[in-house]
Amino acid sequence: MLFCSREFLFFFVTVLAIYWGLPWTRARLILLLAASFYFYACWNKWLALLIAATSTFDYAVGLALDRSGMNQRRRAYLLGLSLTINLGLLAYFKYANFFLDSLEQLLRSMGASTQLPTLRVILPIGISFYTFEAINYTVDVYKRRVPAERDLTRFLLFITFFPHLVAGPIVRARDFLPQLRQAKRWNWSRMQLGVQYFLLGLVKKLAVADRMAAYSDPVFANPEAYGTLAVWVAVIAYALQIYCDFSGYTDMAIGCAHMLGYKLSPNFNLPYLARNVSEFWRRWHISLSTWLRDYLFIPLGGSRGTRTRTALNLMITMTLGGLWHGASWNFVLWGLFHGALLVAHRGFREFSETRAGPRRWLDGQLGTALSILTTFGFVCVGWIFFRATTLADALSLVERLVIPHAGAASPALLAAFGVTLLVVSACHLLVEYASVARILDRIPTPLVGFGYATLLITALALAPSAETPFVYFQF
Amino acid sequence: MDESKVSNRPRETRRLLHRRAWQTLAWTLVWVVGSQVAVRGLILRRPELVDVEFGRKLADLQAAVSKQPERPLVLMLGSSRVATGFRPDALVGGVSKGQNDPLAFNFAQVGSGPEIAHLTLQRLLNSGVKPSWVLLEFWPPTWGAVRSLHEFRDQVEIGALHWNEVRLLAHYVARPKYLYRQWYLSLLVPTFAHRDQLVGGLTPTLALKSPEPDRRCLNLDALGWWSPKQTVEEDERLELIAQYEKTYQQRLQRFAIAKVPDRALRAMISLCQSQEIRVSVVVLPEGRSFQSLYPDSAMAEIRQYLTTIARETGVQVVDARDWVGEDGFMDGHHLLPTGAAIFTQRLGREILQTQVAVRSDQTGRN
Repeated sequence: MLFCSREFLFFFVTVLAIYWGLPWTRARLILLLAASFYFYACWNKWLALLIAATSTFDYAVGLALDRSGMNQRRRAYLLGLSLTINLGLLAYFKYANFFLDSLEQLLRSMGASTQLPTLRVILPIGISFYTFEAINYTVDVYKRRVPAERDLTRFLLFITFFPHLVAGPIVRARDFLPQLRQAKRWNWSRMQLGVQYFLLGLVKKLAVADRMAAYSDPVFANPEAYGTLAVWVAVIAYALQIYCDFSGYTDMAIGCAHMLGYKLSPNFNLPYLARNVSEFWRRWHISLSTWLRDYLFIPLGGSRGTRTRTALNLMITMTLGGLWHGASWNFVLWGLFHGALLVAHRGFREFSETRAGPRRWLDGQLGTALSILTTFGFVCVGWIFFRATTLADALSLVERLVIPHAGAASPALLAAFGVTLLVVSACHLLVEYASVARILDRIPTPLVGFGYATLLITALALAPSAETPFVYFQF
Repeated sequence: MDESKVSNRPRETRRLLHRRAWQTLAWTLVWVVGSQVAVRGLILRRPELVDVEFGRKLADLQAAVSKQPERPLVLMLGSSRVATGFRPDALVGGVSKGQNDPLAFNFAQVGSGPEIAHLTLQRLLNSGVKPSWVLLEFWPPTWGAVRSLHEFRDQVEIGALHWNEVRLLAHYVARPKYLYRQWYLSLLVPTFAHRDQLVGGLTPTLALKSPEPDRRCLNLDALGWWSPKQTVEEDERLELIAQYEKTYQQRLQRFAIAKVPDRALRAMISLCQSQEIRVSVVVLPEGRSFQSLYPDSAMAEIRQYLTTIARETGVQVVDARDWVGEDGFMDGHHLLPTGAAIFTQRLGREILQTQVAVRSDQTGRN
């Protein structure tokens, strides 16, 4: 059930109406829990039971940690057990075939004629997201950052709350569990905010992301057939597609949560306006990058050690971050590429910070614009590895990007691409450099309503003929 | 709208913010509903935006009628065979262009059978077009099959129909609830239901692909005659005949008049008679190659059926099956321009002109 489908609209409006019609907080929680399981079970009812089972296990571990008091050994054992079960399931469902396939290729390259079995497993949608949420909870309870949740309904809802269940944002226990304890009251401002987020997400998904696929999909499927201009267009189109697809989903999730009285953490902050790759990761998929920082990079030692140690920590974190996205060497390469960029940026920053001239130039308007463009360029190259089906395809695309090649023209009309690029860029600049919230507050309500209606109609008019799933659902 | 404004504000400010919020949402609803009503109105006013063939022909017909409103209108309805076979421009020699002589127009729609012809006639009446004479095509293959909603959707844009037109079509589909559902959806959010046509027609800059011209409107003249091909080479003709043989041979072997097309024909005749519109049923020419596909049993049933229709409804049946030789067809059943001219001129000479003459005599005597 996609957020932009008729089924979801019907489901959500029904849940919303019953939810606000119920006078009891407890009943509302139970309704949301039932709706969340129904939402997941629409895709696969057996795997909905899997989430229920693993979440109940994590709930029990949390309680056991709480009861362990000062018994550190027992606490460490419980934490280890939880991590093993959660990561084990993730590894089994998501990475088992990847590891088996990679092992088989390795053995073959060494001369063996082994054929390892391929497991018939269905990847539970959203497993990467809810596993990280469960780990975050257990680690935080273990470190006594949050108390263990005693109410099973609340805990299950924390993991399965349908707006964030399948593609994030990855919620933190300390942010979300307290919200579940608060009684909710109908709030028009919150409802407006929710509608605003939802409409924005809908436009991003239907009017930008799905349409940009018409420029990128055919080129990524057969790079050899296309010329340099078509490849440039495809790469930029994919950058827009993945951003608008994922941030569009997040906006809709945040909007739905707001309408139900909950606040989810923001996941994007205009990432393509980042001036360096480090800033890019503070603006892109914020809930994942902060999770990786808090539960991987810092435990590995962070940047407290030597330069080499810090670089190694960065490379490990980004490589695993890449692998989190999917069981493929392409994602590993993408992670390594970003790790290398982060290491290089650290070196460049140390160099430029000690020199006033370059620093001043970089902080100027031209320097800022150039930094943004350079960062965007590197990020786009990274997207090639992220999106391409094989390494050979990725290299072919990079080659065509850099060295002029003849070939087929862009698979869709360039005028629509140009208009979309222009509108997205203008919106980025408007949000970054003008206080949109303040402007909105001064505009008369009929005009704001007109703006919202325009967003909805634009999304409906430009929607593709067939429903396209969200890119991040596969992760 | 800023998140920080949602909470932590004095009560009065919160109250103002809440009022502003619900007013904004109410205005959003007003604009959305208003825009969808406007789009619906636009579609009904300019059906060619979403229903290209019907809209284009309606515009041409209205233009032709407005130029000579006093001339009685003769409309021919039917499938692609009528679209290619009836050429009003060839009637110049056959029917004079005097003030009281008929104005002929070809309102055939590609792929349509009697159900869509009935719907088309109703749509024309709803649009204020009232013909004096309607010529209805009878083509056995379309009378031998019950069509699905999916097939109807290729010929008509459900969202461009009025309520009474949807109800009419509902009589001819197996599961009307799907038809109604589609219609309600396009009524509720026409921007979504007709998005491809609206974007292509109104904002082509935003279209991802160059809009392909509707093949049913290529080489369409101002009187509705469609001529997709001027000539065919002999090889191509044989290839087309072989292709159509495959499609129709089996169908004609098991031929029997189906209930739904029969109902549609009778309903159409009844509609015309209630509106005092003259009706004739025309069996269009078929080449020898195509005629040979009919088994004797099918021919007997067809003859019997047409006799019954003529007897029970009192309409004239014109059998023009043998009027054009094989070389007048592109594929044994679609006429080439030369064949179309032969058929139309003879129809004008033997049917239209005679009837007009009879009517003129009667008018003179009165």
